[in-house]
Amino acid sequence: MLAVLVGVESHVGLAPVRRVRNNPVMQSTLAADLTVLERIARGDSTAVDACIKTYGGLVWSIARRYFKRQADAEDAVQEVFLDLWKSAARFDRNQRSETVFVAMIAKRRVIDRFRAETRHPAAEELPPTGIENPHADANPEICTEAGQIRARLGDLRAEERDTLDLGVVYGYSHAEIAKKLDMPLGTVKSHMRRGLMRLKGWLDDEPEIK
Amino acid sequence: MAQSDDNMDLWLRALSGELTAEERLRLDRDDPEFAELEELAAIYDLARTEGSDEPLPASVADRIRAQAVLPSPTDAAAPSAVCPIQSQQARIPAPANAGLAWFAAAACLIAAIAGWWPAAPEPIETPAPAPTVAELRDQFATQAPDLVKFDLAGTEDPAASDETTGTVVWSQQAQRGFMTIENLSVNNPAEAQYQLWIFDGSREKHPVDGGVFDITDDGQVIVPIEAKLPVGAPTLFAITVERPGGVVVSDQGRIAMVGKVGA
Repeated sequence: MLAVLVGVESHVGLAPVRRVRNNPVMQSTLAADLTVLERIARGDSTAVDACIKTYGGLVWSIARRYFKRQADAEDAVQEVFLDLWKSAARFDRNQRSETVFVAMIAKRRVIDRFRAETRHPAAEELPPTGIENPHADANPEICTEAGQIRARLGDLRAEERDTLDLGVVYGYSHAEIAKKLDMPLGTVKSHMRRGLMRLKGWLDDEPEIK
Repeated sequence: MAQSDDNMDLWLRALSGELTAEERLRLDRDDPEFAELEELAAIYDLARTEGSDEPLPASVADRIRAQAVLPSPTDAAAPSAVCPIQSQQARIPAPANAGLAWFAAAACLIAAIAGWWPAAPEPIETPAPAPTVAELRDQFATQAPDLVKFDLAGTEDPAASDETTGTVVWSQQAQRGFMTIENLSVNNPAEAQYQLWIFDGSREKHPVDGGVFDITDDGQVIVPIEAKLPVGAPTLFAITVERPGGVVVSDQGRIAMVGKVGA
């Protein structure tokens, strides 16, 4: 996995590492323990509200980073949830956390839609972001992987963090990042690559790359 | 290695949504490793934006709820999963365990029925109205532990006048803030938009993009600030007039307002 990403730094483990949840509680399939998406996949209509309540804020916040017009962000969010209903059956709790699964679908849908409209991100017409994290209240153990990364953000090199912020969080193209940071295009890609490699190492608990 | 570089380039472009539909389809179909990278990007996004989610507007939630079409229960796994699968050996009747076996079977039956029985509808909570921008600004101002406040002033630019004033509240720790602007010209978003730039003493090159916004009212307008990059040592906030959607790097040809941090 990500062998190419790791590239010449062959001392970094290349073996696929899945952040599998081995917690026996998590592996239980008792109906009461089903996640929201697992309930959706079983056609449990009462899970719709739970899904909107748990992930609505997350999906909305992703959409509003890309779409300036509220109507565009609303359309994108609706499309994401339509995709979630269809994709719920593909969610596998042993592969990744539900929050990450939802974020992946949301980002992909929003970016595809955004690029189809060929505009670059701008988003300040809408109300601002809140201070509290609504989905953290809904599920305090919402995403341990993000917590792992967040705890070590300060260890990223500034250039790696900047390129990842602009490219991954705000969806700027590499050419736009190069212009914004006054860097050659190849350097932008190198920083992104190294930054992602570092994140992967942290999640896989591999030795730090210098 | 050349192939590797090609893959890497493709993956990075995919993350930014720069692939054509065909390229994307091919990537999804032929390159399962990309899903790993996509997952990593999603985790990074969550890590960077955690705590900044805003509530989904109630009207949008209502629409999603109304349009929800879930998979049919018959398409999903049968609720047999609620009972652990017994091994062949365990199913052999044993006199000493007969009572236990019947009890387990009965329990499974009850659980299965419970799983199939239509659940009573959950009471629908009436969502609280979303806070206004002014309320969020006030809440932010009272909660941010390291709040700094300073004024913005209009320049000679035609968008500003002698009556153009503004105030910024900014939290270095939260990397967020709000601008309260008065009497800046209303813009036509189809022709031009305002864009905030945060000059950062810790960055040698361009100022940090603080977001694009519109002035929709002759009176007071409150604008949230969302710095696109971490701001190390903010020194000056400047509002420029740019083309619709804003620019990646401003030539600062039209600066409408400026404010010095700490002034």
